[in-house]
Amino acid sequence: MQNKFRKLFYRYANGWTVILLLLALLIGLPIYTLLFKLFDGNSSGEVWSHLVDTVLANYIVNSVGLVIVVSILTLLIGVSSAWVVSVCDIPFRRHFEWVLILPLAIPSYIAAYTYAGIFDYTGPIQTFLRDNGWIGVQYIDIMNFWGIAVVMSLVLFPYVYVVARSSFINQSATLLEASRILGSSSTKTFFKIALPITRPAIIGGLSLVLMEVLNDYGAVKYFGINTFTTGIFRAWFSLGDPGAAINLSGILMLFIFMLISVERWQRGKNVLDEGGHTGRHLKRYQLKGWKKVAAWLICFIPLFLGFIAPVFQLILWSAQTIHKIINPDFMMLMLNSFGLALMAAFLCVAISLVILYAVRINPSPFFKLLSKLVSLGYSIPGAVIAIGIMIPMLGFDKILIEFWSNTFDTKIGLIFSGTLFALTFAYVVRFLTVAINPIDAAFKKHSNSMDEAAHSLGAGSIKTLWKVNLPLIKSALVSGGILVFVDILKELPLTLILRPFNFHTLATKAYELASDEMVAESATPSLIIILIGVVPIILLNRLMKTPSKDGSIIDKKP
Amino acid sequence: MEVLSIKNLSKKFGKKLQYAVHNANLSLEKGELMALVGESGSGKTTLLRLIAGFEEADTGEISINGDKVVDDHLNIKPEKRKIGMVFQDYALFPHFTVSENIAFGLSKKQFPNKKERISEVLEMVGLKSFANRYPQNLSGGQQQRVALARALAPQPGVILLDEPFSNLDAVLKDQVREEVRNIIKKAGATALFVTHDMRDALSSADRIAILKDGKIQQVGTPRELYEKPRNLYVANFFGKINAMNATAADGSYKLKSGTIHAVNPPKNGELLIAIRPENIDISLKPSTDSFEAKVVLAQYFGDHQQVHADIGAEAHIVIHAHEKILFHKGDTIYLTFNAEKIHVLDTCWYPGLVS
Repeated sequence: MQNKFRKLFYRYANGWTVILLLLALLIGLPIYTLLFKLFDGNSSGEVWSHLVDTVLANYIVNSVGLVIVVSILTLLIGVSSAWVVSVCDIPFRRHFEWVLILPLAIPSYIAAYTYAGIFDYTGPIQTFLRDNGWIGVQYIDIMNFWGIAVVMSLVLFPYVYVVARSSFINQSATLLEASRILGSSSTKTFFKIALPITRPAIIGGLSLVLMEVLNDYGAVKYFGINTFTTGIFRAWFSLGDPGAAINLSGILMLFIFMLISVERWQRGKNVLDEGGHTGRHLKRYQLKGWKKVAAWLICFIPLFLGFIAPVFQLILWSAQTIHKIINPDFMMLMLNSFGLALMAAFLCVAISLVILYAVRINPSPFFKLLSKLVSLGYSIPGAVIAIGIMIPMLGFDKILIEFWSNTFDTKIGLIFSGTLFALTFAYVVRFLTVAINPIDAAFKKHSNSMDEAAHSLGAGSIKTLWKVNLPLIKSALVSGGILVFVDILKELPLTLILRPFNFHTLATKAYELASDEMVAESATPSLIIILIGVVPIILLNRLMKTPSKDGSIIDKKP
Repeated sequence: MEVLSIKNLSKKFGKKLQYAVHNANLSLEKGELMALVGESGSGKTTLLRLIAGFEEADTGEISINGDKVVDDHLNIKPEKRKIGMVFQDYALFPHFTVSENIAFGLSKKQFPNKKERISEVLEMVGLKSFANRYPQNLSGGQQQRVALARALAPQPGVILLDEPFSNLDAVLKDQVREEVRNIIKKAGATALFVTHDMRDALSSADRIAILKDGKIQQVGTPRELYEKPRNLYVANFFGKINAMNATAADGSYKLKSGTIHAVNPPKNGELLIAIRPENIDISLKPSTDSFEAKVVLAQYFGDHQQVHADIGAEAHIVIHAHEKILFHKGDTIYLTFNAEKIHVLDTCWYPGLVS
């Protein structure tokens, strides 16, 4: 028995597992911190009981309400447009297939203040209506719960659309044809056959929508809706009570954990075989008359409201204000933003690679679990991660400063907290999954025997990684990196909490300008963020059309 | 010279810790080509992967070229074992050309002139003109020869082949079996290959090891296995065999309905005797040591008839008859067992299989 233990130890005691353990420890730090702080009993102070008495109910109602309303709206928009695009012949169908993903490029906070501007008293809609005498001077107000729910749904529905469409397309054509030959109408085919089969996938997409809703800070704050995220900000910054912020984070995490469990349960419950992929294309419905117009509108309206209208408005604003915005400071800002995102994206890719390879060569359930653990970050709201990082960083700094002044009798500044170090670390924690998923898929595309062949030919683990694995997954590394880059560029809540004093990214600058009643001025940085967000969508579309052999299909969905 | 030696090797798997390989002993001489035959789940692939080092043995020893690579304290990594392996899916590196694939395993130290070695190996497998092609652009048979060339190139102590013929269609199979055998023999390599198909083994291997439930049942040349199977499982691997319970006494096998003379008189006691269908003579007239039997089924196959007959309630016998007479259901016939071809089986392992 002792021999066996020793052999096991030697089997797994290699550099890769040591690195894997260290990374898991490091990347899990915010989660451990929150869990620890949540249960250490110091967090139920006066501020917390005050919050419970006054605003907590409001936070819960708003957050839960948003989750429910946005779910319904994104399902309606996403599934209906996906169904039309998949089975109906409408004008520009092939273009709709991918432009319907474009709204995803607009972060919800940008959509929020753009729509607020459009519907403002001085905005185009009200001005137009007033000038034609159709309305008086009464005020149309969209800055409420329903307004924000609609605006968020307009830019988040593509998460549902993408999975629903690919699921509809992958469904065996024969299945739908069988339903039609048995006399079902298209409506019946949809509700009885297509939708039930697609359900697990749609729920996966929906869960991503809800993560985004719960993560959002900028949009709800701009519309003045109090949710958990704004509550965490308020507790941390305005009330200066970390305990209350931690408690709020705890409740939010519980909420998210429930959502994830429901998703897993839904998915696991019904592992449906989508039918043999015959690769044969479905004969699409040929629509005529008003039905054709209606089908086309089902696709066009979400695209118009979710992308064309806000981008058009932003372009107008940008044209008015760009001369004020473009200056050396702004260039510096871009450089900051790009440099930071690039560095964090590179780190994410490198860490993903190390973790996944370590698990590949040490395939034990424990290490697989670790690799799942480090990719939890994407489901945790940015504000929560920020708090979970801020607390230990402040702690480290305190220890370090004390140690330094005691030993050297001089003073040093903050090393970890309020520096780019903390911010980069937080980006890695939050966005590691985004890189891990495509890289993992690429790794799994080539069989283990490839590695074994390399070993049997005398190559060690590093040579095998370098010469065999890396060349085979390099495009997945690039696409993973691009996805992380784009996500970081538009990230708001994390950056707002953790950025160094006076440090701005495109996202924080755009948001700050919009919050300071300079919506028009914020248009230029917003447009840049959107433009860069469009890049991976075009890339994705290219890849979908010419699938490469080495598994570079971008797949962000966990 | 012994190139590969396996002693008392065991490996358990799964939650119930069932033996995948149980106390296996095997020895390969230099230049020998051995087949490891078994049904799926018999542990043959696990045994191969234990030798390669992709799995770890619980107990036992493995030596390659006299160097121990596995024992209770030692487990040399696969890359240090000097083993060549041909994978079932070939595992050719898709981003390397044929010659780059072969070059991968060649070290500067062992082969100062890599190019020369590559062309030598390519010559051997007859793919010289394909050196700069990518594996995807080759046929299945060609890919396999590249995989073989890649495994042979570093001159490993032993090369292991995992189901080398399973990915090939039937037409190609016969040709490839011959080719693979020739290439391995030409290279003077020692090889062990795993297969579930007895014909693969019979057509290419010098010796065959038969595996069931993780245990090696018998190792021997094809002829030894056919003529002197140790137990019913091995015997059945080569098609039909008739097995009967008998009592050995006074230099003969006693059945209820008669006595068969034993050529090599066994020890007295209960035993299981077996005889192949072609070693039984059929006659319509009784003779001195014949058994009366009733035909239950007769099938005409052109060159022979397969006759199923019952000797009373005692045994169901299958006979390959080459006589001109046509047999019919219900005929009474007389069977004479060729005493020299009667073989005593080991009953201790699979008593349940006795009919």
